Amino acid sequence: MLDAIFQALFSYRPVVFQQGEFRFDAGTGALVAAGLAGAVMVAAIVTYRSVRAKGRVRDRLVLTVLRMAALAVVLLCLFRPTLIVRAAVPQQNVVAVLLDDSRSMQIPDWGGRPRGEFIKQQFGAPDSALLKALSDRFLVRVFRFSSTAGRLESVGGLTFNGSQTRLGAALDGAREELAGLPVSGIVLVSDGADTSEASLSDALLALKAEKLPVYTVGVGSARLPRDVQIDRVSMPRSVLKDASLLLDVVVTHTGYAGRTVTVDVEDEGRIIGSEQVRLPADGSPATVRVRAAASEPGPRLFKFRVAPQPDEVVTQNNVREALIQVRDVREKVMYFEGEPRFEMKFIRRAVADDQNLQLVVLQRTADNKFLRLGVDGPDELFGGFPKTREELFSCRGLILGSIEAGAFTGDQLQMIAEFVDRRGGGLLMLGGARSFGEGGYGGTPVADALPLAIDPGTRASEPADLARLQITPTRAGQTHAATQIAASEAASANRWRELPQVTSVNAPLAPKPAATVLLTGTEERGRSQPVLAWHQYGRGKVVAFALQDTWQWQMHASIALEDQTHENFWRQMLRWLVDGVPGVVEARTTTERVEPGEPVTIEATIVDKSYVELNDASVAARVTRPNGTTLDVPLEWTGERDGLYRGTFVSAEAGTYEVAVDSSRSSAILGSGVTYMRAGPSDAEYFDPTMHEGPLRRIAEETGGRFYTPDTAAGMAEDVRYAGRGVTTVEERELWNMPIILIALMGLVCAEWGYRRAVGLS
Amino acid sequence: MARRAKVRTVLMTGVVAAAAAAYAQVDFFRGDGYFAPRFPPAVRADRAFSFCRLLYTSVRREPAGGGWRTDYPYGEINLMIRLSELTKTPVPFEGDRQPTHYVVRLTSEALFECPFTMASDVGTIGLSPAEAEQLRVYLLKGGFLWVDDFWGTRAWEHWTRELAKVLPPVDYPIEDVPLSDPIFSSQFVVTDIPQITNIGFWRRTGGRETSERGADSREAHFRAIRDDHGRIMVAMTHNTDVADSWEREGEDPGFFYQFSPDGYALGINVLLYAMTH
Repeated sequence: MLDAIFQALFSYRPVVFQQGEFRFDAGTGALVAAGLAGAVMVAAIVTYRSVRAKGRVRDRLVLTVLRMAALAVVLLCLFRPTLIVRAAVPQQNVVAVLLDDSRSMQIPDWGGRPRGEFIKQQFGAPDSALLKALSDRFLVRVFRFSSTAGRLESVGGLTFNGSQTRLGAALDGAREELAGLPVSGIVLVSDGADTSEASLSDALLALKAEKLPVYTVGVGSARLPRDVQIDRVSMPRSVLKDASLLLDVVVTHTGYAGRTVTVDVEDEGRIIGSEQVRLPADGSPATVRVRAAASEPGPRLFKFRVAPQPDEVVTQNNVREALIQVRDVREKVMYFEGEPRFEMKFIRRAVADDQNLQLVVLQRTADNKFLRLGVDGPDELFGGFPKTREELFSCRGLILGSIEAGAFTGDQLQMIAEFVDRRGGGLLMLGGARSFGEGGYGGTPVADALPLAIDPGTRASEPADLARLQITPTRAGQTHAATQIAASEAASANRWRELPQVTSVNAPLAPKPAATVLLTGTEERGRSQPVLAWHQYGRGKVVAFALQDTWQWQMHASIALEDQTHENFWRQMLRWLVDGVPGVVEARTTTERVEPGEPVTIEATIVDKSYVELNDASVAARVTRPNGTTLDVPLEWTGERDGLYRGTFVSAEAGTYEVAVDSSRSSAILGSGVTYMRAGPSDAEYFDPTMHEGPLRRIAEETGGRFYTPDTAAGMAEDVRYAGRGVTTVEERELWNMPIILIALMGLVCAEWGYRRAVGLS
Repeated sequence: MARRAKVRTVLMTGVVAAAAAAYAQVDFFRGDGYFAPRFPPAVRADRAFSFCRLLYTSVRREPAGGGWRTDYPYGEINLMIRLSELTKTPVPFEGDRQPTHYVVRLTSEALFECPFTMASDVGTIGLSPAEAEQLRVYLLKGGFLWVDDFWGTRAWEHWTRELAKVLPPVDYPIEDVPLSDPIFSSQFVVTDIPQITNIGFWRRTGGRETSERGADSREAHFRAIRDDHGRIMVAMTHNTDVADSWEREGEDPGFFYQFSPDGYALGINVLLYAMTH
């Protein structure tokens, strides 16, 4: 609309003024005329001065200015103002038209019709409006693009089924294909939803270098009237079998504020978790925490789903998929207990049924006498607590019970700290007469690793007075997976309040600055102290749990025989302790999903058994394709970081790929690791499904083109003509005959006449 | 004269009978005297290991048996002292240098504060339905019961009948525990089940006989009921009086050397097992 008004007033499109060079083309006659005009101006001034007695000074001044302005306009026209523009020579230049063929073009938000309809309407036939406008001026080359790009013979070849939109790749492809040809510009018709991870900057840099303008047409609505979307899902890539998961799901919407929807989590068709959420105001995300159990081993494709809502425009974004590796392995946790006590017995019992936890107990029964429980063989821990890093680091978790620091050598204390810091293991210190400050840990490397601060000057001492504590989760504890002891957050908080009191014989310690307190204990006098706190220490985590008799949560008279609180709590604690603890070979792919046919990058971190990174290992991945065939992929040390190896392979058919990485060194096997990825079409096209004006406008502005909507695209062909690129001819555009000049002149004359009448000078 | 002789004979017989009766009485009560049951306070001062003895009602009598108070309290006192000396187990002691020990009723909630309990002379025990149910819950939650000092077939049959009210034998059969079981090597290696007699019997027989019921109790047994994971819930030392080797350790060196080392080895092993399994 604005363009049309502009063109009506100024005769030309704005691009002519932007690109053109302004000049006057005054001839001899014009100079004579200018002289006459000057004389008229002088005469006008003299005339108005002579009528001094008839008017006020201000009126004469206004009338003089109006007269002078009118004469100036005439004078301007006499000098023949002209724009010198370079216009493309018809049919001598090429214009590339890039048409978005991705799935999102099926979204029906172009006046209630699918976005793709605009393309068909404007480019579907030789006499379609935009195509014809371009064809009249240029040689038009039409391309389609989605995840791949290519020439398009006919718009009928568009399927609008591409699973990705790669704007940068499409622009690069067109630029390269037309290299050497006189190209006036590129026309990009898209909804702007770039779903690739690549940056646009590289593509734009090349276009800017070639001064090749891109004219973008954004199809679709900037806001959908009604839509619900699973926006994000927070899920680990790997968990132990039977893990209780707390999955954060972010739901966004427009048009359904106040409506309650259900978020379901499906494991291959079976609902494993469900939670309701009331949708907030439009545009505000709602975060819902869904509890689910990963009970089936192997690679599992979880689907997070919200049922389609009435009149919803896009329903495909109500489902989001995520691949998770459910590991059916036994993670070894070593528990070193310094004195026979019931706490150890009941922790053992609590996790006895967990097939994915191996609790190896080293129980000191007397001085230099140890009872070993749950060991793998007669030699394991035969000499007491490990004396080498290799032996200690073979465990993923370490629990220190009521065992004093003096029971370890200095090197063993250092090893325990390195177990967390370097190996990435999980360390848990339990409360007891010989732990924390009372156990003489002040000033040791273990104290440095703990999340609770022990004064370095603290010496081993008799246990503190018995504190009877009622346990309450903190805000962080209410939402933490390890401290969920009932079916919902509210039920869990209530359950904590119901549990019988437990005790501590350790003096309260303050949490370190980066520590998170999950549980606090409150004495009868109302004084609180942290009892469960944790923090990240180097590559691993350290948990402090300053209680000595959680077996009360199992044995107490108020606890029913069937109650599983104690079992669940300790299973969750130990699973959390070993969660994310790396192995000797840590294999991963740089992306969880690729399009079939795309390359996949495998990365692996390789360490030896004492967790020192290796750069000279032999590393290879065996890739098992969905059809069962295998492919060996060698991995090379990257040189970027110690222990980091990388290799690539090209995916073929859609499905889940298993990537098993083996490493060896000097013919000795170091270890292996497995990861999974999948090849398949993405649903990303349906997420954030509005028209993305930002990227399209950026492309246009940075390359010297222009952004259009379907309503303003009609003048695009003319704009491209004046892009000044390709085979051009210089054209002069005279400006004196623009309607705006006449209007201005008439306006000034009429204003002067009207003013004179108003002040009585006519 | 004949009448006087007859009276003298009757008197002598009466004295002998009285002496025999008195001896039997002494043997019956084992010279313990009366020790009031030491019930736990409402709020215990600590959560360290405490020996808890079950207080139950006897519904029959066994020769030389004292019901629930058999071997009480010095059996547990001496065992806990030895436990504190021979292991790292923190044993709480009170003002009179006696380790903390308690007596608990089966119907008391205090039972659940004692993950380890012991009962003696269980050949006389009578369990009400409420007691049986409470004991069942206690055991299945993770509690441990050691019964000791019951001899012969009648006592065994009575005990197993009562125990069946708690843990039906179909689901929880009683089994002999082989010497290869971890309970016999928790700390000391026990190579056989010692048959330990009460000190009165030992004195009467000069230490030559250890079977208090003759041929009916010739062999000492260590039997058990296990839970679903194979962990011992109820340990039964039948035809032996292990607790007497603790209770009477200081009364006669001969008795001590003959029984106490084996008795303590077994006792400490069982306690460590109860605290670890």
